[in-house]
Amino acid sequence: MAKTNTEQTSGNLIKAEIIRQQLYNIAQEMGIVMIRTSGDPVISEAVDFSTFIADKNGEIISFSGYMTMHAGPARQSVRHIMATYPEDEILPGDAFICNDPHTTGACHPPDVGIVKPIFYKGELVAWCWAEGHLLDVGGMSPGGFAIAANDAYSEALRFPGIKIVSEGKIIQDVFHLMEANFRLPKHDINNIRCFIAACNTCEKRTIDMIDKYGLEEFNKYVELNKDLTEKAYRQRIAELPKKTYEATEWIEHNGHENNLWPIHCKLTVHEDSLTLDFTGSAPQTDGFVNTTEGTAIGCAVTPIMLVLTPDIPFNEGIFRATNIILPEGTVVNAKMPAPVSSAHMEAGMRITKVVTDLLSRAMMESEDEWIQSHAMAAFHDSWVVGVFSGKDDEGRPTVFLDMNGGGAGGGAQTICDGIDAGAAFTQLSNGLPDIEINELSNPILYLWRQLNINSGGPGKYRGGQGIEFGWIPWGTDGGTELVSTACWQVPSRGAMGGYPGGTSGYWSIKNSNARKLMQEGKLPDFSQLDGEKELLPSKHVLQLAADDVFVQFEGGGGGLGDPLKRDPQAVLRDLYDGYITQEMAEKAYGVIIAENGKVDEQRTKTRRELIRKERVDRAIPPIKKSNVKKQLQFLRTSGEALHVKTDSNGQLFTCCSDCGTVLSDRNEPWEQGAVRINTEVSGALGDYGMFVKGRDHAPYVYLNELACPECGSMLGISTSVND
Amino acid sequence: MLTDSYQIGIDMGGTFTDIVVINQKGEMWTDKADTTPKNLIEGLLTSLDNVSGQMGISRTSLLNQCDRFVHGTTIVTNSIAELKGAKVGLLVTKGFRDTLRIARSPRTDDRDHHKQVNVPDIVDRKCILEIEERIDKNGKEIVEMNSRQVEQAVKQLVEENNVEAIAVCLLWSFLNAEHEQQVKKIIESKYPSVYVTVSSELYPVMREYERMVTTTLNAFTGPKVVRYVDQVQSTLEEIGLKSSVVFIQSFGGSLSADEVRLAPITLVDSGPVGGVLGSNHLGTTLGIKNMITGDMGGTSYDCSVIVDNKFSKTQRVYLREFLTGLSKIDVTAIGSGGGSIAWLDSRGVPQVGPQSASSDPGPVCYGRGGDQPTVTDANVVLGFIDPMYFLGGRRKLEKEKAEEVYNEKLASKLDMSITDAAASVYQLVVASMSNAVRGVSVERGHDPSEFTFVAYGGALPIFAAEICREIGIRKAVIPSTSAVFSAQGLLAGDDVRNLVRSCFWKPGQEVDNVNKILEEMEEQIKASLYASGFKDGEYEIQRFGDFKFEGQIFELPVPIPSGRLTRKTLEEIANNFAPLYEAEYGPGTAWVHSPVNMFTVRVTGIGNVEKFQPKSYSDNPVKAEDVQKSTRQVFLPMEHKWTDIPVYDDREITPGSKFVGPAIIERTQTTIFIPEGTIATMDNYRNYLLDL
Repeated sequence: MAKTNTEQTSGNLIKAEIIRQQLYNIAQEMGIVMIRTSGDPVISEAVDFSTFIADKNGEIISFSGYMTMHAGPARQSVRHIMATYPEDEILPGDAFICNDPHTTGACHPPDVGIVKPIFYKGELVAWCWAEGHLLDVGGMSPGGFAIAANDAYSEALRFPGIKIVSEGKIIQDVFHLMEANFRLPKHDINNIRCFIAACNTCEKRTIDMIDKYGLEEFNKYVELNKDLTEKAYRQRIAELPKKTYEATEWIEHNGHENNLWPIHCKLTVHEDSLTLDFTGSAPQTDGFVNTTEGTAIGCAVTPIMLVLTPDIPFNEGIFRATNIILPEGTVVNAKMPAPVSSAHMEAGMRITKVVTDLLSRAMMESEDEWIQSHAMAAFHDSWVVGVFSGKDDEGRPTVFLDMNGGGAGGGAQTICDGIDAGAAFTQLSNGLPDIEINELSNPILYLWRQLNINSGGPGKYRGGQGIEFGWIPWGTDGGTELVSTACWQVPSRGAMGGYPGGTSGYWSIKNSNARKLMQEGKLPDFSQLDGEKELLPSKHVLQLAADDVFVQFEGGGGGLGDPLKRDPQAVLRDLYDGYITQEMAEKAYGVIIAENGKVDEQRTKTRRELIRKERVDRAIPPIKKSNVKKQLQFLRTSGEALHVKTDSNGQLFTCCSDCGTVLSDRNEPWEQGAVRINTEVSGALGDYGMFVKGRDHAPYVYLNELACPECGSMLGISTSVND
Repeated sequence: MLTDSYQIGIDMGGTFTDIVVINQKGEMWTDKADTTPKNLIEGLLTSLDNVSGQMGISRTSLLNQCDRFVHGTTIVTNSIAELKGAKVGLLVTKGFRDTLRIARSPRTDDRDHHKQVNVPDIVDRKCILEIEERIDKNGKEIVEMNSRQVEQAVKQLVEENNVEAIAVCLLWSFLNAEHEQQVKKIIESKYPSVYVTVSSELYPVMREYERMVTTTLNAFTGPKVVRYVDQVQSTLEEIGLKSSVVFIQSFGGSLSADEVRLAPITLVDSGPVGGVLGSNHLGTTLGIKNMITGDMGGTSYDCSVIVDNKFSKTQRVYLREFLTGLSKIDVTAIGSGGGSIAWLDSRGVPQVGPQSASSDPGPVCYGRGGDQPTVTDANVVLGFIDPMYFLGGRRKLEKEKAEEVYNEKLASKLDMSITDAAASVYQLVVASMSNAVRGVSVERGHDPSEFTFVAYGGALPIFAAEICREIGIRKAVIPSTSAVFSAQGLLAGDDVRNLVRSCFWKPGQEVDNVNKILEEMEEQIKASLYASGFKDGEYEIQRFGDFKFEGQIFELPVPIPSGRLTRKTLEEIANNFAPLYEAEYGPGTAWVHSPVNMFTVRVTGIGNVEKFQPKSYSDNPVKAEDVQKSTRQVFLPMEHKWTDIPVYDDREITPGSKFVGPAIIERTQTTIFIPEGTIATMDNYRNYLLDL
């Protein structure tokens, strides 16, 4: 016991942690209040909501583990209120309503947030935020996804952070305004009350906490926690290579025209901070796919939270070491009057994907084992929208947003396959509905709901699988179906030589034989259905009649590592489990199954060698072929596909992890030393039995495979767009 | 001479099998034996030998004179925890074979995607077969079932895939069980030895995912449980037991062997039930109505709340990653136990658990190869536990090793002293256990100052008083048998039967169907209670309807009066529903403009069982200084100082005696810490009551 009593510092740390846990508990309790008091399936089962606590300056100090992207809107809303209300007009018992993407940073208008200032003995000490997805907030399109909108004016009724509760009293005028403008006002007002209740709980608990610790202590430890997070985050960044990484993703189809809008991002890793620069992204468009700044920030920090720092408590400390550059007037920082009612689903999720890709590329080059192993492939990251509006079986108007839209696949990891039906990356705690629950409350009958075969991106670790389902109007004459998916033509990337996942889409089968087959004792699947089958555009509105079948299929996450390196037994298992077809097993994984149902080891080996050889034969030569042939020493891995080696002088090289061939000097991009295969993506993945919609006019989407010039191992795959 | 009659409770845990015997005079014997995982019955018999030896009677006469034999077993819990069960075949509606895998989305709130994985397959995918049939939401058959196809599917499962059990779960079967019944008949007529569970019998409730999970897990655990129950019954009968064995269920109370064979899944997670039943029995004896129970073991801390001598139930329970339709006593568990490991997170901040050294290798101070600092090690370092008097001196602890590991893993890295590092761990444990207590009390609208904390399990009495101070509880009870309290609690429950069924009703509708369903359920429950020997007047029946507002998803059970219902009775319940809903979910949560509908009915049958009261001793207080065995230097973790505090020997203490903190009372299996400002009094049953 040599050390002296260091109560001062050690005590601080413990107390800071106890206070952090209590604040986290409060944020979680807000979530529990949301789930318990709403009872709306969208909030309580699909958990499409978020809760945050901020300090008196609007800096986030706690977050509860639901939708991560709302970190941006939560912060932006508080800032906007502080900027627009004089200090003496923000009073104890007030609460503000925020759903305007252009001022309060909301993801889209149906995401309605309540912001409440928390006072302690008359002094503003903190803020809290409770937000959830409402079924309808007015505007031209039931459900709020305004495909046809040309501007934000037509999209919804927008609340730019105005008071809804004044000194504890609800301002009924606001509810009257909603009653006049929302399609389902009772339902939505009930939910808003529950968001207010969650904020009230936070207020009460926070005051109790300050009573216990004293305001000065409370502030001190809140600050200390931000410092602790910031410090740990900066240390994490210090373990990344000091380099820049660039990538582009594309928004596709803005509701009016099927074009592609680039989102470009350059990640710069500094000594102990990161810059994400979106300069080079497309100018804003007149369709609903733009995002405003608040949401763009939330979507950009989501991968930081989930890929780079899942073990570090999230708070403002993360923002302090992250510089996000969003040029004004672009699709990632749109200005009035740009429509934004699918902002987070379109530009937003593309931001999340491009940042996931960039971080993973940096992380796989880190010398730190934990960081390297947490690099991952992208989630499919599209929430596949389908909204039916019509009359229910009792003749009442109904809006049915099918929460099965959250069934797309997750990205593969360095240690396991991606999660199935994992939803969008931001959606922690996602839930899908039961068939019986959906059928009970809505005029439809599902013919099937199952996993979408071949949807997971091929890889040593396979991407997670999406779901697919088909239904027929039931107890209704039909109605209008609105569909919108973000990931149709440009699939989600794999990592470290893994392939992209399949994409999402919809079919309609007009005048189907479904009812006839059912009468004959057959419950039809897709192949048994006759009628006018049509693959729908990714953004579309159509009429459904009683005999029409609606089919929705959702894509998979990206794969990780060369699929030829996947354990043949795991491929056999996938085939046995019905997750992939034999075509996929043979073409993407090079696995041949013998007649006895076992892996034919010899033919698999031959087949895999053949595929590697074909890759090299088809490819164009490296940009800069390395001719280093000397004896090198293995130093460490650099992701699944690459090794770092050293010569006797200590010079470092990036090499193929399989055959050891030197690709480049460590200081140069290894990509230069790889052979390249560029193919149109829908055809390339279509060969494996996967779905990616091909474009019928320029520009086209390409799959860019980078392989080892010697052994043909797949080293990295990306996507690009070109005429 | 009147012969004694005995009640026996056996609580079989992962490490030990605890046994409690009590007679009609309230005399009690407790003992334990090692659990024998390879052949569980051996450990059970050893525990009987041990206790009968202690009582000085033969095993045969103990069993001959036993009129109630209650068994708590973890066989179902373990089978699911380890995913070791029968090879199951599953029959589902065509188009929905992936329901278990889709799992209502397996995504959790874990930010680390290495931990975001699919729900494990409990059924081999080749053994999930689809049946061409369909029923709609009105219970109407819209695709006829093809019996030939069912026969082929069953044949394939049994003859090609060699399944031991078959689960059947078809869409909307709870409304129209016709198709499932047909399937069941086909299986039973062709393959009578196959264990069959159909969802419309086990759990006829809406939501196909949890119905399918519940049904499948029942089939998965069924064959093993049937074998065990048969073995326990026949073995005990052979060696002299005249009464029947009943099994403790997670819903609370016990269940007959016959019911267990049909629905083994009801035994799952029954581990914490004994303690909660025991607490309530203790509370009833002592006149305490509102309690928060706490149980700290080697790996976890469980807590629950009892209001007005009723424990709260929770519906739709998770088992591992599996969401089931089961109801059980609501217990919150967190990963804070004596074996929980302290570590530094990525910010360099100390954390405790959920990783645990459990009992093997155990804490570092056990000297059995543990090399990570645990909570028990902290207690030794701080001086709470006397290394020479652990388990009454049966195990010597190595304090130096505990200090070394605290120095190496925590103190040196945090630049603090070893005692400060141990004190930090103590504080974090108090904070996380207090948060759990807050979760079951404050967050559900209960004021902790109106509750008594019942603290049991070997490790908890060191922390109990500090948890109370942290959360604002003013009274605590440390039961006299805190280490075997759970086994004792098994004898405090009644025989319980519980049924639940979906049953739609909305105001304006006739109630004939509701009456029919309730009557069927009551008949089934009565038949089961009669089969266990209960006569009219020895049981009571409770009925509940789960109501909710249209458009919301949460249902709230509301009592339904007995007898034939009229439309008026149900409509009155619906009209008075809003305040009940708001009492549970908070003011303003009732969707007063939505109609109130009933979705589910529940019927519970309670067969009243005679409970022997523990013996009461009259007051005969001793002076504290007369029973002080030593003075010990303890580092008080909340005050951050070394203090000399008196240590008292429980064996010398008599009812009515009072002790003022700071003090330690040592029992053979537990150490009770009484902080400054707290008074401990031994009551007439040798429990300690703490006034804070």
